[in-house]
Amino acid sequence: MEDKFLAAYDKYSKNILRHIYFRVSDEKVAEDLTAEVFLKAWRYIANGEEVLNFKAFLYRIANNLIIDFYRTRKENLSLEALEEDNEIAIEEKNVFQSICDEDLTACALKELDTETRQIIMFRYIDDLSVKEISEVTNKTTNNISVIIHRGLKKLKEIINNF
Amino acid sequence: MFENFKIVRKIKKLKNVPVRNEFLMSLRHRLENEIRYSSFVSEAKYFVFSPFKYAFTFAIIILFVFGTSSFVFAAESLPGDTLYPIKLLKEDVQDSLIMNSENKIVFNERRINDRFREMEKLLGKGKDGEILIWLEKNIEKYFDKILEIEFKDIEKDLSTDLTSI
Repeated sequence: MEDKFLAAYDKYSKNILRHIYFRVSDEKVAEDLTAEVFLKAWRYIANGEEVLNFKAFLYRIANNLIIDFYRTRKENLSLEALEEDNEIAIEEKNVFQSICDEDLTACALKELDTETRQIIMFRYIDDLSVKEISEVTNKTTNNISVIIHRGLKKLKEIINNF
Repeated sequence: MFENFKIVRKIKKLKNVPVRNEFLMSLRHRLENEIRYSSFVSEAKYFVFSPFKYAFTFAIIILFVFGTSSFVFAAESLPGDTLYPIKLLKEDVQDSLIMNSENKIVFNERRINDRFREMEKLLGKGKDGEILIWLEKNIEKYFDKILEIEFKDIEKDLSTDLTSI
């Protein structure tokens, strides 16, 4: 069990760290949250709990920790209010803004809405399958597929307009 | 579809955004310590959940009160006995103090033999079940440790050979 866990760490840690960094735009915070992801994951399986898909499990923990991170920063706001407030959207855009000059695609990703950008990232940067994204986000696979398709179409339009 | 493919390829390039490898290495060490601690706690729990519920705590108290002479009393103890945790603790301390890999292998081989002897004694007393499963797990652990040491030695020899070319 321990060896499998460490093997999973070696396989996924870089991706998890990068994913969190893209979403919180702060290297130190991303590193702290990454550590939290793997410590939580270890404690969960050390308690004898079963995990069917370890990759999706890690991303789910990461997703929840990121939401908690933003929630703590604005304690009195509900999650919907946070998103309406564009707090998360602004923070996530910061990373893409910083690499926008070098990469047109990063500029285009910055222009997408938060949910579409996150799902596109899950699919093409983190290499999660549609089923895994569905497990992480609690959306149906059909919904995810539609979001990805629309997201790519929107990216094409944005890039063509640059 | 072809255009989609081009866009997806560009998105995938964002995987090249670098991350700090030193952080990932240090986190790995931290996780290894956490795993070791969890194993220690779950082994200690065995003694807490056994009929000798307070055996582990009592054993530590004995160790402080009687000092190293408690190691002598613990030498012949078996799993489930009050002083058995002290026996294991003594072995762990001895193992951690051995630096030479050959001696470390010999020591762990001795531990394996000790565990087998304990198994035989317990079977002779008509005991079975959880205690024996726990003993087998520990025997496996010592075998893995020996393999790890041997593997490290082979790696060291290989790298010495390569640098001497």
